[in-house]
Amino acid sequence: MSEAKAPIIEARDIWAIYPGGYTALSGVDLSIYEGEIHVILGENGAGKTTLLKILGGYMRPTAGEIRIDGKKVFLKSPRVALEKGISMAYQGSSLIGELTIEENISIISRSCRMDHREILKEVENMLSRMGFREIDPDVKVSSLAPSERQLLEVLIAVIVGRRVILLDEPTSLLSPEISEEILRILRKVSMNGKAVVMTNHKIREVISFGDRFTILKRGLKIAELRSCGECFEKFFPHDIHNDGQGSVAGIVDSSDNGEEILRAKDLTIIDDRGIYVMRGVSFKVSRKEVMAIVSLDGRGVREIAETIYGIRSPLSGEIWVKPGSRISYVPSDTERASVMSMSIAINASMRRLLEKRLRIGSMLISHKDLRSYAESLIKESRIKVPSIWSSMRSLSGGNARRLVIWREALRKPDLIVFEEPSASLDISSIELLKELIKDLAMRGSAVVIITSDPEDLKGLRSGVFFLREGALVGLEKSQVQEI
Amino acid sequence: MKRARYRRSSSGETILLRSARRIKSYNMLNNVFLTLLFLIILTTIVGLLALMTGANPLDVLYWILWGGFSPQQIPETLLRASPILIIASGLAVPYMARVWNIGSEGQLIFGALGAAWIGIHLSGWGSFGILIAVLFGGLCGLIWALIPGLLRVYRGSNEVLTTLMMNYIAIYMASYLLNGPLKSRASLFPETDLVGRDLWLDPLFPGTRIHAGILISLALLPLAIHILFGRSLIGLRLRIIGAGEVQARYFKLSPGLIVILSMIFSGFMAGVAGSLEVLGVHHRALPTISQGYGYLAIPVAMISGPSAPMLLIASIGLGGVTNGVTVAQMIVGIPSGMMYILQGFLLIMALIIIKIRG
Repeated sequence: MSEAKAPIIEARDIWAIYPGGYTALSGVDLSIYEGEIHVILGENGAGKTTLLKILGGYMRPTAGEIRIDGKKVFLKSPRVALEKGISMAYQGSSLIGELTIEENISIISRSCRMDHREILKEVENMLSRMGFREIDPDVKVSSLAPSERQLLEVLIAVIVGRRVILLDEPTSLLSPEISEEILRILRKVSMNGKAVVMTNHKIREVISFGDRFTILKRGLKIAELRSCGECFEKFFPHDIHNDGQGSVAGIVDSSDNGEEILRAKDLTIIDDRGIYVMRGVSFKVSRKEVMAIVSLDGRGVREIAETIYGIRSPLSGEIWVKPGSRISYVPSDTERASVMSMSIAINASMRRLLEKRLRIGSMLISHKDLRSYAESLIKESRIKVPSIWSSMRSLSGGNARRLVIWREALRKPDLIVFEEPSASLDISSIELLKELIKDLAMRGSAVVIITSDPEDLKGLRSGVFFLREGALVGLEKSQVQEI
Repeated sequence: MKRARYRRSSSGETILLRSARRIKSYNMLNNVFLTLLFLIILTTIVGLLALMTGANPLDVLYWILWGGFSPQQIPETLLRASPILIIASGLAVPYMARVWNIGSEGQLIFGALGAAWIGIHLSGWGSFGILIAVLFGGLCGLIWALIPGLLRVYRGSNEVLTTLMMNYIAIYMASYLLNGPLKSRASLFPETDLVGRDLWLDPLFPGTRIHAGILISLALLPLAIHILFGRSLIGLRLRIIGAGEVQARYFKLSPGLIVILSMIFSGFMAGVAGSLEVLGVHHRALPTISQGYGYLAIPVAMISGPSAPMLLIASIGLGGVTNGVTVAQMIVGIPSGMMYILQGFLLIMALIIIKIRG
């Protein structure tokens, strides 16, 4: 633990640029010492997972060097990393679902020079100490519940990592009791000299726990701290402490400038895996108002948007939309809101066509009408189109999404829900979109934005809810973010 | 870079548009290539089967082609193409929504039994009787398709399996009815009495068996399919549901009703095809009423999708092959099992093509 010792791993000036040009890490330095618990903090997309993947051999850095015990190494695969004593548990995906527990362990055991029976026995010991029944090693990993799979993966990583254990969100699916147990185990192995490096969304859980904290923001390392007493407020201003359980309900009071369109009371939503993405939150939105829900950990953006749009039922609580409202919804990906094999013209008119009553006399679609509407929509949204009769697939991702955005906006919605509004848009399109949102609000729509990125709200006047793990952690009223 | 691609060419259309055309023609080429490959494999298989039975493969191929597409055989080819086309147009509807009705054979048989039964009792009703018999036959086919439709919507049963199994139930029920309650007393064979003479659809041209139902279906159905899928609000809904569950949910369409409606529509069409076989060709119901039309229509509907010309071409093509094999059977003496082997093979090829197209 002492600073005087040389670090086990020393990573210098690590850059990671994805094939699409997205820069996940810009010149990050990181040193990992024997016997420490090193926590990497940062918002969604800060580059935490990328950094761990590089150290674990799952990904190669675009530039930068990694030294182990002062010697330069090339971690070309997880196997090489494991041979050097570095193990990693990586959000449920470092085990192979099609193989059984024992087969997975035996693959791992080949690179870490341990007997697979020994590993299995150790895993069973730990599980039984946590109060689990015996596990069946012949069960396929894919048949385990997500939380069981995560637990198994973390335990295996803890056992096989001789020197460094990398854990990406090790407790994200685990219950509080088991999480605590895992943290206790990690403390114990670190006392024995292993280094633990972890990322964690549950910041409160690790704040008193880590020996060293590295804080990343948008791919940059902005601080390295020995304790994180105040780092919470300083680096994560959206996380306002409340009672710690985070079950507080809040209402952003509207300045009563219009008729109420949407009201939710104690809304609780779970996703398809059964994870809570919103816990007992209340809000209301009126005409001419913009409300934003920011999911700081990126969870449940789609589920919350779908619930408000009305195609997903909440677990509990009430949601009320003014009867007869026209509701628009822009999902984060275009495919969900269009038929890609059909023409641009049909997709542009899709809502209008489906709103028509089916009557014998008006069953046919007029091509003239399709053309004129598609042309006006293309003009409004300023997209470039090869031909309105070519298929939706011929559009680039950004243009296709703009088509859907303007289709949804131009039908004079009473309520419009944007999910991750800036997804697949470039900077100038985002500016256009923000103008559109202001325009929509001015013309009397109620606007709801669900996003994982607070940057999306820059320059918009809106009430903002901040959620973490589905719980309300902060509110801002009628805020104009001028960063 | 991007701007340059939009620069107008001398002919006035954007370059991007032209390249889109090129892609389209490439796809056409691809389809032509697939069809050719398909025909080559088909010929090879026919040749091999012929060799195995000891016949001269070239002889067999010649008689199949002659029997299918020579001028004097065209009427017979159209006679066989018509039920295939009717059933395939019905199937195109649920297939668009990715509902796989494989049970047309059974639906056709039930339609034929229904039309024959009511046709016997409607003797003397004339053209009005024809209309009722056709509609009643359609209704019987519809009911046979409704059962798997309901099972899928309310019980989540896989309609491929249920419709296929309904075929066997229909075949054995027909066998029972034709040997029992519906059996003609005047006949030694398991078949019904003749329907009323005034209900027969008589040949329009002397020396052929071309009746009005054939011409009407060949002329109207491709057009109807074109309008349904290209221009109608119902076709649009089918295509959204066919695009996937996510899209159907987004546009707030409930797939259940559309699954049932498209399913019973295809059942109705198969029933109509069965009625026309009774009124226009055999004038009674008998066990061999279908000739496998219900199975032949499946690859036709799958390959042609919503394209009306393809539907027409594929139906006539298959009608020709069916007729050609029958003719070759009589002339060269290849075994009758050849027909079933070819049918099964065609179905497999259709599935491969669908898979290649994605």
